[in-house]
Amino acid sequence: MAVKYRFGEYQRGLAAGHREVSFNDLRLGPGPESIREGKPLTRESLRVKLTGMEIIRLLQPYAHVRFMEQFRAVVPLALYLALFQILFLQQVVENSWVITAGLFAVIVGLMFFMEGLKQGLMPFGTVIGNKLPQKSTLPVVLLVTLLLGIGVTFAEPAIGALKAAGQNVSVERAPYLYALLNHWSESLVLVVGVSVGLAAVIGTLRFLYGWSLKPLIYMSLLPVLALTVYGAFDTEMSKVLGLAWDCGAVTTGPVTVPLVLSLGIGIASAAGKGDSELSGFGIVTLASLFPIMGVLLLTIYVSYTVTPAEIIEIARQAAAAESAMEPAWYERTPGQEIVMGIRAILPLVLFLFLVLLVVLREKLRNAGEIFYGISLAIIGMCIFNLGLTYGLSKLGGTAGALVPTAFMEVPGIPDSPIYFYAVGLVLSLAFAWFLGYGATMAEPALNALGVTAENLTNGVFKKKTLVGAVSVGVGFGIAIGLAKLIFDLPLVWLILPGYLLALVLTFFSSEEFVNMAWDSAGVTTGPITVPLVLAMGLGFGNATHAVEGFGILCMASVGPIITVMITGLWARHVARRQAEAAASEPVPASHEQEAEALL
Amino acid sequence: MTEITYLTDVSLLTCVVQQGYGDAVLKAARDVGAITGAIGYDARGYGARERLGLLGVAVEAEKDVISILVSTDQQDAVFDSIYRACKLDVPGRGYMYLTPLDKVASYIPESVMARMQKSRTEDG
Repeated sequence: MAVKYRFGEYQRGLAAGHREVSFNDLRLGPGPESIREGKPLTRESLRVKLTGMEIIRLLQPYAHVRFMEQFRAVVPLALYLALFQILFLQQVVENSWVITAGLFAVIVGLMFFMEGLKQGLMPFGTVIGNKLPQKSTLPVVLLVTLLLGIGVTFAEPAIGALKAAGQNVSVERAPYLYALLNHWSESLVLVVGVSVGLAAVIGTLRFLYGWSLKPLIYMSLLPVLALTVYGAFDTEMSKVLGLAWDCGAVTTGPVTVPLVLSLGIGIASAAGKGDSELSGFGIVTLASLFPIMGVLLLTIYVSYTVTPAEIIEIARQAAAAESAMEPAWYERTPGQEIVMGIRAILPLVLFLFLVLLVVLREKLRNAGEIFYGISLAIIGMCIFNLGLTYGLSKLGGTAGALVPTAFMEVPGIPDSPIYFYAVGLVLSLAFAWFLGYGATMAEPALNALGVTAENLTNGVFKKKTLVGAVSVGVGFGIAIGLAKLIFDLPLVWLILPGYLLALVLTFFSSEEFVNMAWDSAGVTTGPITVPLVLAMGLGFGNATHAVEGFGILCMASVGPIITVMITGLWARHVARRQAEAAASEPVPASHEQEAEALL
Repeated sequence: MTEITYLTDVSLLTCVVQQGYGDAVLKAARDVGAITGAIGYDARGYGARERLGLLGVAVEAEKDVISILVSTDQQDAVFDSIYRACKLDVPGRGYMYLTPLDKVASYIPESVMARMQKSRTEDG
């Protein structure tokens, strides 16, 4: 008689390399003898010791995943810029080793910084977001929100790019711009911070009381546009407009958005409003509009206190003094970057500690991990700042300076212009378009927004559609921004129609799409895109002798607002069309039978 | 009164991995033909983080938990496949366990039911 085996036994036989160990023998907890002897359980006795090899095996994937995350964001962009220079402009990338090292520093710095943010700062955000609204009154909560807005702005990595950009502005041609970015740079960041704080306060009130975003957009955009028009009539002030509008795009980065949102969502859920899908939106929008107003008001204030002639005089004296003496260690690289990194993070950390200890009277849990996170964030910020100076700013700057050689004569570059005027122009604009498109497609924050969009619209508006719409918008935005520099157009001509169109579309769009469209603008500008595009614009501006190279980022903000809302309106139109068609056409008989058969 | 069909010889395979690896678990199970019920949870893990001291930061607290129903014939193949696919031999990756289940009941498609009855009569 044939022997019968169950198939399962056969499979068990096939798979070799098994060993059985009793869980009792693992001694993960206290062993039986220590229980018998009644030894007290301590944290130390539960500690697991790992060997060196095990530690490496534990840390290797931990570091690898986080490194690759940033690597994927930086390298394609850098390669694109470098290849464009080599293939189309026939230029060797200058100082390529310095730039490569700088980009490596950006990757490592961001990797440290993001991990530090997660381990060291986000726990504060969660605790404060959950506990503060329960323990304090609304005014206190709003005050904390305001101060937090200032703190996170200083900690935002992209802010450093603004300061770096200031060194390349010519004081004679744009004195107020120079003054804002140099002597007044601290006030500038402070004003931007206060604006972000105010935006956070109003955004929080909005989802506490369920206000619609539309009136808020009208109410904040109209004064901003009015101030812009006012500024455009003043020859000196008009040169600051680009900076003011770019500041809006710079503010909403990887620190601001999660920290401010966690507080806002905590407040809303404490008030019993729950966290609906929409509640997170709006803060980002307001946080990118308010700083524009803040910077414009600061400019008006500066213009009343000092005259352009005075600024030029001060700058000349400062330059003379600087060349006379060796700058102190903290004014040189790398000292300067390290001081900047510490100054960016430490105030925010101290503020969060104060709120936790004084207002909430909470004890700090996992102090070791939080300390590790904060140190990592500071180290990361310092490395990132170094990389910003040597990698991103340099790469963007040289790319920006070289692109004009495609269509115009640039001193110092032989054979320029390389192409006929029209061909070179088209090539440059296409370069800008693909830069914006590609950089946006790769932005991880946008993917998250796409998922939310898909959930909000029950899958009608696909994630891919949103990402595509935003990327196309940014592409056109950057191309138009570059065109502004080439033809030296006043920024008002571009901003006014762009945002007026956005306002009209806002009026006709549904609340969900208004929220998504305006937020997508803030989401797209991360810590890699901002410095790169800023530096490229400035380099480009210098090469084409434009007065200032700002304004590209703000065009990259208004672009997606328009494209997303148009896509939304179109999707609604298609959906309505289909509904009408379904209602008017009788269902064919055969289909009816099929449906019945299925039931 | 409808007759209740009990399914026997079922095990529950529960796999706890770092967030983001849940799909790898499902794929590994599917690769060896276990595609009956599966549920995924978002969860937080405790234990390793605390016991490793500062090294614990390398162990993600956010976990994906995947529960899969497998037949006892398949269970070892699925278990090994997931273990390899998720590299559970690397510290900090996660763990899984197999629980024998007494019985399972759910809706059984008529075609499947017919096939089962047919094979039973053939076996005698």
